[in-house]
Amino acid sequence: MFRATRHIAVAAACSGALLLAACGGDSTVDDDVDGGSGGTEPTKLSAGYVSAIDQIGLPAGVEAGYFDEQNLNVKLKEPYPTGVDALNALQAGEVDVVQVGTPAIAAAQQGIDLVLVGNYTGSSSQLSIDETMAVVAGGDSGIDGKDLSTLRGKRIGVSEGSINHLYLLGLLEDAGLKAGDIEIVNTEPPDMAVALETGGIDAGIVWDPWPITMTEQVDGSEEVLRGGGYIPFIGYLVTTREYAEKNPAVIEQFLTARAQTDQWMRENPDDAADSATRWLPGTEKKVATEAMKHNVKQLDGRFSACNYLALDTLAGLLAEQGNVEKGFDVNKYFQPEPILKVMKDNPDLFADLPPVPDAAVIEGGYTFDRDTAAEACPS
Amino acid sequence: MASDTAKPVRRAPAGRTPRKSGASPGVVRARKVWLWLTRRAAFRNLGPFVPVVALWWLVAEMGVFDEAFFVGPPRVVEEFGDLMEKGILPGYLTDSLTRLAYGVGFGLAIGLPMGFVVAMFAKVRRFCWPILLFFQAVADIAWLPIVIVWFGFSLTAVTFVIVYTIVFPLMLSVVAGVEQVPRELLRAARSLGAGRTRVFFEVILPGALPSVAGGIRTGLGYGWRALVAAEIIVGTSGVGFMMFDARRVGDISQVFLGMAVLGILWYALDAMVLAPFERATVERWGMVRSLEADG
Amino acid sequence: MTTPRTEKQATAATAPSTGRPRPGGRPPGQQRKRKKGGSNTPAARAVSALWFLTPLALLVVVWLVVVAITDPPLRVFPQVGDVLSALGDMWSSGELFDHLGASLRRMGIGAAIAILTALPFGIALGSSAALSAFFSPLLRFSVALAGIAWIPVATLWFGYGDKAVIFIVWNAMFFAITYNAMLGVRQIPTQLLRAARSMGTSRLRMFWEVLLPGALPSVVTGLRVGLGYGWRGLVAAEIIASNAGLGYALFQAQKYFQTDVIIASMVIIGVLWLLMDRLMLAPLEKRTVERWGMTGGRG
Repeated sequence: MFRATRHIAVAAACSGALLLAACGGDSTVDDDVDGGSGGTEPTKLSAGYVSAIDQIGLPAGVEAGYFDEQNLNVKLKEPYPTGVDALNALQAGEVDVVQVGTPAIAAAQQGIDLVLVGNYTGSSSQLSIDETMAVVAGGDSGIDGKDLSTLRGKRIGVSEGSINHLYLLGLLEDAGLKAGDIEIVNTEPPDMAVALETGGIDAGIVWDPWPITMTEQVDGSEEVLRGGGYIPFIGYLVTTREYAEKNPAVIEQFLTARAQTDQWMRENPDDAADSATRWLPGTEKKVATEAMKHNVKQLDGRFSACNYLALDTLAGLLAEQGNVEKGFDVNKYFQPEPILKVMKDNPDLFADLPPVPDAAVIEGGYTFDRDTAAEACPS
Repeated sequence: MASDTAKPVRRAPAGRTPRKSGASPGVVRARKVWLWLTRRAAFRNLGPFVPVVALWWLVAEMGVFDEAFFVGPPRVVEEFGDLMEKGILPGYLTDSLTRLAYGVGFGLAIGLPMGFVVAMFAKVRRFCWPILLFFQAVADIAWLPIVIVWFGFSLTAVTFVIVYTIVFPLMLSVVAGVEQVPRELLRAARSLGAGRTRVFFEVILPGALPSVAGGIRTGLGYGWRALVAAEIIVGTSGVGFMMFDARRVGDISQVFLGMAVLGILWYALDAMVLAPFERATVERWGMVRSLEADG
Repeated sequence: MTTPRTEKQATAATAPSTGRPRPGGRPPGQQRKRKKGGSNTPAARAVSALWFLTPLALLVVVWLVVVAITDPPLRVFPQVGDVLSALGDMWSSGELFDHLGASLRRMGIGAAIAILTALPFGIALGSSAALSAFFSPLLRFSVALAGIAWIPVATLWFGYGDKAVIFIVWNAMFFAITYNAMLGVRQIPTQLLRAARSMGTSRLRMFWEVLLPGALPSVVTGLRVGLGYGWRGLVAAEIIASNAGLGYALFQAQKYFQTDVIIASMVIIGVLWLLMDRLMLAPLEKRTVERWGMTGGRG
């Protein structure tokens, strides 16, 4: 009996200590970040992003106050683990705007009523852009970035169905290899390093910042190839059709603020890297700086025929792999009017970017035609 | 109570009865110290971890695995201090424990009554049993994708998964507990004029209690594991999230820290609250002890 | 120490106050059914199977009706027909068999290794107080760690691939089997052990002829429970390093928002386990207890 009492006393003391410690910390459940307040009744909206370096533009913009300038009160949601989760949240009405890449294709096909109103990564002046993608090979793998035929017979780690998988297919095509000539090992980015270390793969293909951390973690590994224009990287600002129809002005303001942030990032990559270390907790400064170097090459928020072409290309590739259904109609999902207006009203925000080829410039109500677009956009 | 022990046989620890006479004084003293040590609960509970931690330390020091993938105790302790100081760990702990509390609360509130209903009414049991078995078979993790679609990244989603995991072993143990209340007792109580309600509250409920206590303990174990798994996959905060998110920045020490924290917390909970609770119900009400798989 | 059939049939739920109850959660309802005479004829078995399936069939009907009435988007809650057609697609494309094969193979290997390692270990723990005193805290600690939490460590130790997945399955099963083996040994009446020892039984014979058979009912329960854990752990583990498997199919379907495939996979996972448990494990457990069980009345 006495022992039992003593046990209970110890248990109570420990729980008490634990609770005190726990109460001492800030709860981060459902923590939202408020972007300040403006003059006349700023419009409220919630925005979400995925924890990735190329998505920093959104939180950085909130931090820098660009959204406030546009009289928007942006509530940032906790970063989503993946684009799939972000889209689920959009669908469930938990968030108004999200930043999402390739998952948007499958989501749209499966019935999420979304529209693409802007870019957070990509290019409107050329078809392929993939500076943020790199191939990291183990020291003794024998893979030479300059001679892609060395990929033959190797085990390559990619996330099936994701953009790094498609990048690999682009590499294979260029090297004249078939998918059967290599062995694909389905690897999620967090596992790439350990897979390379333990010899589960000979090389991993993945987007920033993973290649940078991988080369640090795995002795003898190195980046054998980066970018190269094998695939169009895409990343859109996505909202529901309903929201876009009801709030056209808000969308324009949002896009303007994003364009301002993008320009700021292009001009101040170092500060942007700083911002990244704050918004992606634990990221080392030098990793962020390195990643930002590549990221700024893809910071083009404009829309042109090239963006349509990029999406169409990717949807086609995914359909070939059997991941999505054929016949994805990009016209249904692009809504270029807001960003086109922003481009017209604020040409200075995009002045430092490579110009959009004349043949690729679009107007509202543009209908995509693959052949014309392919001619207009240099790959 | 049975003469054959209802509890697992606790044989005397080696050395209680000194076998050899005429041993040297040094040996005798060493044996006395050992006896004193093994009587201390702290030693019995923490002692076995010493060689394990030592081995871990050694493997890390020797660099058997690359430092980027395997860290030793010193690094983990350092990380612990760092995160505590920044307030990150307490924050995550609060989140995890909040979710667990919700999940366990609802799990008990749903599982216990349902368990008793199924146990008491034969028709209900006949109907529900196959359904219960089927849903128990569907791994709790398998529910996460669809639960996220339905509930998004909310407390509801994680609570759902935890409740789901807890309810089944709980219900099974309630049913088993009620089953093994001896019929004679029931008949005796009724023959003495007790109505249905009294029989339930004064015979069946106490009789089933040891089994139910065991079920709660097992269920909590399930719930604990489900919470971590849910946080890893659904993660926006919490200890499970912390463990895996750190890999994003190439930091593996938090994985080890997370494992240590989770293990220690559970151990404390189980050793100091759950096991004594179960033992107490057995001592008080137990006629037979229900032995669960991972008690 | 006898379990005569008559004793079993006489009292459905009399708890033996002198013996030990069946460890683990058994479906008493199922037991009851069996006891009502002629329980093993094909007709009787068919009837009991029908009884078993009816509630599930009813559930499907409810699902059909609710979805028809509330008409949610396909993505959020597919109709029965959608799921069935998803299942059909998986079958006809051969995907289903690939996934099943991969999952079952990993499960089988993990289970085999778990049994071979946990059984001797558990029996050793059961027969030696010192060993069990040493390892019990470690076992208790390991209860906290979900299989999925082991992924970073598993992939490091065993390489990124099937081996890591098998390790996680092993990990999920090992402790359940160990614990039950340990308990099984502990509940062998001491008179038996003393009798055997006094007859001068060697250690080896002790193991094979006294400890193992004595612990067998408990071990089989541990096996059953452990396989349940293993199956659940497998699905979680297949989030890594796989390009086939039921867990893999589940998570891939999530990536592409194919809710009907998600539910189809869940159904397969559930049905498969149900089959394994009902058709293989439950009868095995029953037969073992009948043959070797020392607990009276609840076999």
